[in-house]
Amino acid sequence: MNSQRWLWPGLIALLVITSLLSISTGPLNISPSTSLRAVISWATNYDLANVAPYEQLVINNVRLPRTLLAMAVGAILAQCGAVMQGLFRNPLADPGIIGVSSGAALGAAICIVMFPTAAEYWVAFSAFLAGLITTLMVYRLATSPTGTSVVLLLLSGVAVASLAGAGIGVLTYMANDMALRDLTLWQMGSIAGAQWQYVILTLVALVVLSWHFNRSAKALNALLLGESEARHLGIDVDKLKFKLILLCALGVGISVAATGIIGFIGLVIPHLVRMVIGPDHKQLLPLSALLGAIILAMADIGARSLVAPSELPVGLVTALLGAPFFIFLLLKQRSKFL
Amino acid sequence: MFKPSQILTRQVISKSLLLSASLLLTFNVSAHEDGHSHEQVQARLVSAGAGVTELVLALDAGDELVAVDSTSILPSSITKIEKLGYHRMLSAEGILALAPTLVLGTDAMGPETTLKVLKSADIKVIQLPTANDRPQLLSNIDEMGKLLDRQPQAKQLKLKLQASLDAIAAKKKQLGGIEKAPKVLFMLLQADRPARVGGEGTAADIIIKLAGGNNIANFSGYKSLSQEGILSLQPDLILISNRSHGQTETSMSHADQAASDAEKVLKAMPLLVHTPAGKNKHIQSIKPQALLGGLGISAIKAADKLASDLIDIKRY
Repeated sequence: MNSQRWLWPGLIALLVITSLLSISTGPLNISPSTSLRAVISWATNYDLANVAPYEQLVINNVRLPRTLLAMAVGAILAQCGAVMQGLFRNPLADPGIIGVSSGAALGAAICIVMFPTAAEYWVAFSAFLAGLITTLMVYRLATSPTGTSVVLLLLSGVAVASLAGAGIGVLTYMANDMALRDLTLWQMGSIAGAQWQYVILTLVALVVLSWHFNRSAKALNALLLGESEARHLGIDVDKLKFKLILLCALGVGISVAATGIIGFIGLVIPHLVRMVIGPDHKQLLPLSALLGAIILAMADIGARSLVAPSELPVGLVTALLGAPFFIFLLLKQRSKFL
Repeated sequence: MFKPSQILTRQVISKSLLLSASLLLTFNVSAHEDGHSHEQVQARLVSAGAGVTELVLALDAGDELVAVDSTSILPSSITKIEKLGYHRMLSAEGILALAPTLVLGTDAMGPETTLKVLKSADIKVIQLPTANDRPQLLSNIDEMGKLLDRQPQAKQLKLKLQASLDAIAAKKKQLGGIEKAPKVLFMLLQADRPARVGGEGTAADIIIKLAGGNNIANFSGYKSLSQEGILSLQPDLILISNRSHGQTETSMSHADQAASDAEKVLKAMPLLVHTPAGKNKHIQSIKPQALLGGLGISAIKAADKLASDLIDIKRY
């Protein structure tokens, strides 16, 4: 198909435009050329003329880490979404389904409500740890000597997620006003607190995940035929499942720790890509990553410009855009599901 | 010769380049309109935290404010001012864009990354400890007087507040001991939901204790209580805060307002008629400002009024 050929260059061009936009938009007026010069002087450590110190500062400490973090997290979430949907052969699967997001939210809530003085520094770690533990729990629940059942995995995911939800409810009830406010904001997800250590962490995670996912693309394709068919093709399905679920848990856990919960990227993006290129994971995974990076960075641009000088949590923007769009997709594709 | 697909690719790329170029142009134009200068003569103040903003206004520095956070409450006379988000989720760039000379807040102000960016942009960022007692409040006022160059006003404000605090202390003495003091209950009212009662450690608790009242909610934090639960506590006086009418001053007189508040509460929660507070219509409303900024001007005012009310009740 013709449309597939322009997809790669088109998305890469769009990624470049988005990053340019992202580093040159904000409540502070810095012209794109100045922004670009500031980025270059940051990267090369070479002092270019005509960049005011405060402009350089905003680029270095606010816009650049934000842009990179949004893109890395968008790419991770979209890719993990695509892997989950492939693994479970279920179009509704998203990274939240194995319990990472809800577990991480519980971890963050525990930290915010019970240890408010440590909250500033430990929320991310606590979220990551709890996300990982929850996923392993879900996985254990679904695994019996005969293997890992997909249906059981989905159901355990639902059960553990509602348990975590109840835990968050209890904590919300116990919380004082300030913790309550923090908790709510955290659950809406935001890239505002982008720090370089998170940027580096998520970028490393992105590279590692992409490499592993890419290596599993063929196996994921085989799995589309059905589990026993994949086994007949010589794929160790249970090992594959464990590996991919663990990787997704790590990826989503790190993302959630860095930004809070950002919904709909993992669910919608792979669908969008699949509509154009079909279900081949060799293409689907990297293209999802690319589109996820673009969309989340754009959502973040919206989050910080719409109500400036204040800003919206980006999770709200993705949900506000993502949910209606998803409904639109469903209506358009309804015949396929019937 | 190009293949059709290549032409398509080129078209997409050139179109997106054109789009980005036009976007860049529009931003360039807007960048020049709003020149950024750091040599302002007039102080430009950003205040985050209800208590801090209240003190800024009391020190007569309201005209220097360029932005406040979402918890701050401003008089209707100050209109042209930016509203930042919640004071724990401030946006670094949003504040930088306002070119402030001073960012003033409590130790709850954040996040840390934002403050770091502001500081490294040579903007003075001052975090005052939240005042929960008299010495801290007075030292905060001193500090702010210096920062805002309003020492005489700070001195006066301190005298005034010290006098009020002394007056409250005197009234508290009249009440004599916590055991003899009337039982007070604070309810945060929310439409169609059970009232939330303020226990130990809440802002309402600070006010009740300051006024010498006995807060009968002996749990920590805010908890939902049913009418029956409130009835079992038998409060002598009920304090209410209603978020809905908090920020708009009505034309009603104070007494009328209080009477209508009491009626509204009794209408919504008829069981409360059977408490001493309900029987005697000892239901007082408290401004939301008083509950937001720790021990501050509104909280002291509220405590003073409460202390008087408590004395009145004791005379029955």
